[in-house]
Amino acid sequence: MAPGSDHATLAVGQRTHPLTAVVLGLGWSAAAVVGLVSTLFQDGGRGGWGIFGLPAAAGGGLVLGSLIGWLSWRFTTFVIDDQEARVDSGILWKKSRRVPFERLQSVDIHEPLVARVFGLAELHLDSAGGSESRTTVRYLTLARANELRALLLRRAHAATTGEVDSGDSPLAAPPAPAAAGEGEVVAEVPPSRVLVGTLLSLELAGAVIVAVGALIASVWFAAPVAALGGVVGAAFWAFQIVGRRVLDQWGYRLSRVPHGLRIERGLLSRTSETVPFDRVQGVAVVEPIIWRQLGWRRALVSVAGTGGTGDAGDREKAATVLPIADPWLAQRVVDLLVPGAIEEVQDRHRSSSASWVFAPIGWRYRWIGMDDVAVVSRHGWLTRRTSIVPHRKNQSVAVEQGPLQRRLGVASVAVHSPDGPVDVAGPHLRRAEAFTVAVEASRRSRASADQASMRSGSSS
Amino acid sequence: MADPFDSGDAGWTPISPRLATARLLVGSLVTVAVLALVLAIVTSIVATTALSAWWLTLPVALAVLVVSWLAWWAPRNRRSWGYREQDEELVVRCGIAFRRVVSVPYGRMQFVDLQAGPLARRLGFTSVSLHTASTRTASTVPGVPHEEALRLRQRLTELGESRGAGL
Repeated sequence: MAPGSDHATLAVGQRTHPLTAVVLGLGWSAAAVVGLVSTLFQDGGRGGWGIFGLPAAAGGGLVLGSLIGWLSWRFTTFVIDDQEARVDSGILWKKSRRVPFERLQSVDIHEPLVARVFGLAELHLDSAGGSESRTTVRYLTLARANELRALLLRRAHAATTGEVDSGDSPLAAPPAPAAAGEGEVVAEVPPSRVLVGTLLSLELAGAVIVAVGALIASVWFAAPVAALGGVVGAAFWAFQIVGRRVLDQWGYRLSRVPHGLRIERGLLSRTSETVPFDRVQGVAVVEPIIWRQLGWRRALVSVAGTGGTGDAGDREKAATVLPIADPWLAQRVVDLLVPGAIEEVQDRHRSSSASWVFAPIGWRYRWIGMDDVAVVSRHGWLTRRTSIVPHRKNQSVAVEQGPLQRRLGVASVAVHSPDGPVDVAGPHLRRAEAFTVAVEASRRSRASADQASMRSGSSS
Repeated sequence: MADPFDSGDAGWTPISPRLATARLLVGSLVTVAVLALVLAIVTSIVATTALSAWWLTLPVALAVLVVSWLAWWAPRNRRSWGYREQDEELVVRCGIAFRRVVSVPYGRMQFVDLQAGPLARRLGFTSVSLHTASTRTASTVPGVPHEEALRLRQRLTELGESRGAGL
């Protein structure tokens, strides 16, 4: 166990697990070896090292890397006290990152492949706002990471419920389970399902179409070399799509823990994330056209504080709460995240037929509607996307109209929620309808806010 | 928000007419600066090549066009801005060609920013930005008279605190 494994008093600065030095060292060594070997090759072997050059460079890299790894482990400590978590690091330039509990949004455990080999894991502490909002503690034993996560989540929950009303959280926080894999399992997605789903995905279909297109073009122009390039490129692309999805979502398990859902996934690197119920800003259900024939869908969640980082693909991956599922399961997860919400609301407002100029096919498939719980909108015919934002998370409502829309007598309404995959909007409704929807959405948003403040007033 | 696109100006708090003055002033200065640069280049080309001196009128004509468009656009755009403090929300409208009405409940406001550059300070107006947890709210009211901006921020902050529902 790491020095100071007594987790009752964490006020003293602690080190991470000593093997961290080895894991970090391996990373640095790899970089150093690559660097040294490449300079050797640039040198063209003229340095007089001859046959000893390569092992010398590799050995030197290993020593150098291990030294850096050991030093960075030696100079990193972390503290968890009653108010905050703090990580101090840096050999020459001291860096101290503190995360106050009331700003802590989520705590995730990540096991990168190399660390996992040594039975180690890293802890990600996410706080609200900005790209610099992630603090990493690396590395700890998996058991200890779980223990610390439970502790951090308990304290964060106490801090937020003690100071800020968080809507629908229960009064008392039951003790969180310490180990991974505890809690009621909501869904397990077998790797075979992920594989089949990926094979039937639009991305893969795109790659295959490109490959076939390249083949046909090269036969037509009688250029076999070009054909090889195109096909190999597309095949590589396709392989990457399938490989990444399957590796990322291997052994996917969604389970219920106090105050949230836990996602565990990954074959080589394993990740365990928590989606806290009171941070859920909205849910989206995505149905690509091929999956739709089979009744399969994907569920995404928008969580406060995790919207802004990474590229679109990474964001989508981070937001995935259910990679592939049957409708009943997707509905169950939607219901867990936004209690009472359904996709198929009755009160719907469709885009006006006058708006076909903006989307010749798509206009038929767009609508926005609401019920007592949430505002729901749907769009897309190749990939159908249903976005759900509960009224109490609706931040503001806008109606917009450009010159062309004005001539057509249509206007767009948008419901604003924090950045994420969920985007509720009613594009090109008839103008009067757009205002009706906007007024109704604001009214319900207000009503739900009143309810929430009344509840918190009576409970605290 | 009963069809505010056509409901006229009644009930909307307008913003300072000086915003139009400031925009016209800044726009004209930039145009004149660009014009001077272009004229210098064209003059040197005319001096060294067989190009007719009449080409000098083209940039001048363009500049006149830009400034007169600004003189037409700035007051119109200024008039299109307005806000309304309703019981539970602040409604902001703007735009003529591209119109937008946003309704922001007081309880959802995270913070309110005031911003005024040197010219705006001289002319006595400030832009007021409303921030909710969503960046898509994107509500900045330019050209609010300084005293009014302070009052508005104070009021919004008070209302926000009494109605705050958290994230």
